[in-house]
Amino acid sequence: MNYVVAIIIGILIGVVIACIQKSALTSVHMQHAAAEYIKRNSLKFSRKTDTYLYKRVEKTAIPRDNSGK
Amino acid sequence: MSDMLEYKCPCCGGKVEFDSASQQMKCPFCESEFSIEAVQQMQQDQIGSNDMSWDASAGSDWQPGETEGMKVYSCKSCGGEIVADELTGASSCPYCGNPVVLQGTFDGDLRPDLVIPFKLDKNKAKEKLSEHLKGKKFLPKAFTDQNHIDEIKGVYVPFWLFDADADGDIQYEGIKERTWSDSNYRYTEKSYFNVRRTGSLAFEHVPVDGSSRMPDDLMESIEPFDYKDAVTFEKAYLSGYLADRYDVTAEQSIDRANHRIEQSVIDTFRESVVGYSQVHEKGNAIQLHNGKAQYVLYPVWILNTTWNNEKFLFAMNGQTGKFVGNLPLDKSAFVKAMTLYSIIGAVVACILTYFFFS
Ligand SMILES: [Zn+2]
Ligand SMILES: [Zn+2]
Repeated sequence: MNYVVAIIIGILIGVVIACIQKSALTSVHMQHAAAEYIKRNSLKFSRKTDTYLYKRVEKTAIPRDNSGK
Repeated sequence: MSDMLEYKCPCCGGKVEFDSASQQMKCPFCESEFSIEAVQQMQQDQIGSNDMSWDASAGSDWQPGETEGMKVYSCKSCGGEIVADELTGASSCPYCGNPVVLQGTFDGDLRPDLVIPFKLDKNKAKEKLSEHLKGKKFLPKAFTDQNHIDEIKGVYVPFWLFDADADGDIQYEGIKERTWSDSNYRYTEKSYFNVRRTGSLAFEHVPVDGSSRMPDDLMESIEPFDYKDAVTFEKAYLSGYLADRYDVTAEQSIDRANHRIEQSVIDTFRESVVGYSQVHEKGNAIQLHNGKAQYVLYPVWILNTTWNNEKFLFAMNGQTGKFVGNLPLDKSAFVKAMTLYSIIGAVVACILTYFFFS
């Protein structure tokens, strides 16, 4: 069983490496945003608030290992 | 205080009420409690709407007689129109490689405001092309051999540059998590915050190419151009080079500039929201004002190649030397390598399993 998992992981790593090498052929992409064109030091916040609202607690039972007893 | 009865619970959307016992706002549906300030802040100032309007009056008119000697050549194959002075002339289309025909004297169009003159020559462009092809694993050998590297052309590409001040107002839900456990249970406490960022950010010279023949992704890939080198346009800069004629107006290009600016405002504001394990944007309003546009020519070296009936277009930034262009894939070499890597990967994984798990 361990070997089946190992073979699958090994194959996946091989595929990923090949695809990374393939991606070197692509160099044309649209730009995501306009970060290059932000005027230096132009960012000004007139309001920066972080207001606490409420809290929630979730609890999950820790699985018991009953085989020991 | 009576109008507070109208407030909605930030947690479940139910109507919250003032609870005199705790002196807090309380939701009767989900039992959440909030400070009065928090509830007020959530609802008093709703996020506004987006407004991205521009005054896009770029370029100017040519002086009488200034365009004398400038000719328009058109490509019957792709419809491209390029401008060159009489001495330079043009024989083939920089986009598709087909012959161009002299169509007549150049007139109409706007006069560019600025130009960045070519800084890098044809030899540099050729050198960068061979660098671009070098060391690419799955590039078919024949592709490199068959390239007509001498066909590379210097073209001034029309760009609209947009300047604007952006006002942003963005609301987020921030969640801080704390976990602990006792002998029976694991506890996860999530604290919810209403995060608000209001501010402004200024943008300068956001470029959008004004030629429909020139693929937008190709032009965005050779960015950025350094605006510091831009000089007042003079016809003399065109000699020896081709100039592409714009066929997309500044008005039609605004959407792309707006989208990029909007995204940058979102990214920049988001960077200021820190200390949470999760942040979700709840709404944004971005307004642009003082928008203005300029018409400029940027220097680009272009090479087109057809290989196995597929077209490939390369471009180099004529100012910085940044070279881009997608390359074809040698499918059989790729499949062979992938198979080989997978076999090696599987063998190595089995050996590791043998040593560590048995
Ligand atoms: Zn509620
Ligand atoms: Zn053409």
